[in-house]
Amino acid sequence: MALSRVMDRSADARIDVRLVAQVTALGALADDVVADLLWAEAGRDTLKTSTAIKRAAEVFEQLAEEATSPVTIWQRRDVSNALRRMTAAQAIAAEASHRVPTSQDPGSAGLRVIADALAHTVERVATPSELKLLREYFQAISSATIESASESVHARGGAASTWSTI
Amino acid sequence: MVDNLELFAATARNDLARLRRVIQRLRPGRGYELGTFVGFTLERVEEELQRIDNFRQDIIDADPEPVARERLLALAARRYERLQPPLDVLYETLGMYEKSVNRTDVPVGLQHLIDVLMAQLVRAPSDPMIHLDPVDMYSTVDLVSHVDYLFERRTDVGGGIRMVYTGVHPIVFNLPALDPANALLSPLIAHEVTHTAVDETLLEQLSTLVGASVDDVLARWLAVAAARSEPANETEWASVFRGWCEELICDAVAIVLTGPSFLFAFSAYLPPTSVAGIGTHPHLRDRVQFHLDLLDTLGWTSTLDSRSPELMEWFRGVGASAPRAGSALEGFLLEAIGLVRQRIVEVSIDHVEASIAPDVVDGLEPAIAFLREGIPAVDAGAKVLDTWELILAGWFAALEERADKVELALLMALDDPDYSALLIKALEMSSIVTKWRRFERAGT
Repeated sequence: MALSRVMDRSADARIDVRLVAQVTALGALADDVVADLLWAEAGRDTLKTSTAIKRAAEVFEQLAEEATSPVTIWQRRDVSNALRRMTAAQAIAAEASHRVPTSQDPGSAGLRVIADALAHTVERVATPSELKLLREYFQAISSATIESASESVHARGGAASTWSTI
Repeated sequence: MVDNLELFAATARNDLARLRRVIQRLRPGRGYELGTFVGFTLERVEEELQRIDNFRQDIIDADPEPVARERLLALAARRYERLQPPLDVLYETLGMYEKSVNRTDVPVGLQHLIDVLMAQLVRAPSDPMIHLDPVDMYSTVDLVSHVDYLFERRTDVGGGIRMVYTGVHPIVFNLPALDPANALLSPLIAHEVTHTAVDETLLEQLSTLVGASVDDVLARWLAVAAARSEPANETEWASVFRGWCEELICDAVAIVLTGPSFLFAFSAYLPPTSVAGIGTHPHLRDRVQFHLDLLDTLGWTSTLDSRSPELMEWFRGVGASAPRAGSALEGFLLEAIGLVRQRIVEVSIDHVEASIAPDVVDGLEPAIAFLREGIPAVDAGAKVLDTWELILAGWFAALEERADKVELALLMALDDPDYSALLIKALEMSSIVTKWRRFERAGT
């Protein structure tokens, strides 16, 4: 077998650093959403002015759209890729959608339910079951993103192998 | 019961303190901006810690009912814990590069070469530093692009805060520890520096020029994969394609800037495998063909054919014989890259302001003769040879010396530390003469 010095390993690891960043950003958003939902459950009127929920509504609307319509090859989709792997959260959303995920469409039904629940929350017409769904879903995202980020950093030796190479 | 809240909070603060101690002991010199940038990032982490502390205090002050209280405290603990992976990356970054700040154990000629590359290819103000890597490879990283990104809150589907550092970017050059100043391999560094520009602008320029035409090719080949029951993931395929475009842009910029020196350095450093397969880079043999085609576009073929006919014949044989695995993914990549190849060349040529042209070669003959005699060449008549002219003269002299060895001449040229030191000395002297003449002109 011929030996090659093309450094594929490092190029792969460079992609992971961006994934860590995206996963961390998604997780931080999830934390903010959960905080506002928990305070609302505790009796504070946080949902009226929640910027986190508005932001999450924009993000998940876009994710739900992308799941069903083609996007250009030039677009990085680290967040949607990362979400695909968060099986606990996907299961929560899929169950709420009352649809069975298929191999061609593993998460889009669930994403639509989450996007709609967020939109209803922004419009102040969310039902109690929608609010409960959102808390459970984003709590699962919050935990899964920490695990995912930590695995990505430590599995590849962290920053040491994340540089672009010939 | 939440039993880890205090520990996560203390761990984050402890990590901050450790990192601050490291940047306080950095001394001014090349790479010092690493400390400035990390200091800026630590301020952002401190702000985040304060926000979490305020959240925690809010829970204590509000004193909600037990279930809500537990859930809120668990969330506070997760917020502290979330800082850990990015802080770990920051720790490893500082740990790796601390000793590269203000280093004095690499040749001045090498540092000059890197300064020239930075001026030619990186537009933003930057602070380059050399790191000796125990792995035998070349790479660069703009530390801001990675570390800054880790602490921002913007997802790639929108929302959140973009953190933007406006100071000078510390850029690391990872060079092989046992042979960092191999002058003939310096064109590889040009490829690496271009990755910074690709991340910021060049890939976006390419996507604007190409538009959605490649999307149809992707859809068609995904259908082929499905029909053949081959595994296919659209996101992964798109990611590999973008990676290949990036590598070819970097190759093209390096060729436009350094001329045939890049082809020589590339082929010597990365012998062309005969094994088929799809990786994060195009096949080495396809890259050699790409280099030959671009050199031809730039007018180099007749010069190379007359100087090194057998070597060129070898290159052509290599470029024409890339093995194929026959997968749908390979089919997609080859067709898609074929579609965007010309645009890659256009974007790359546009990016380089001072390219090397074939008509310099006649003027290099005296320098080539001097180098073959072991004399560092600096100028040709009244003209001071610039970095890439010197490197090209170095390659031509080395290959002439070993013309009968064909492709082995490439490797033999590299494996000559005295010759490399001679070229590095020539680079040093060239930079001194250039500065002296500039000084003289300013005086008159």
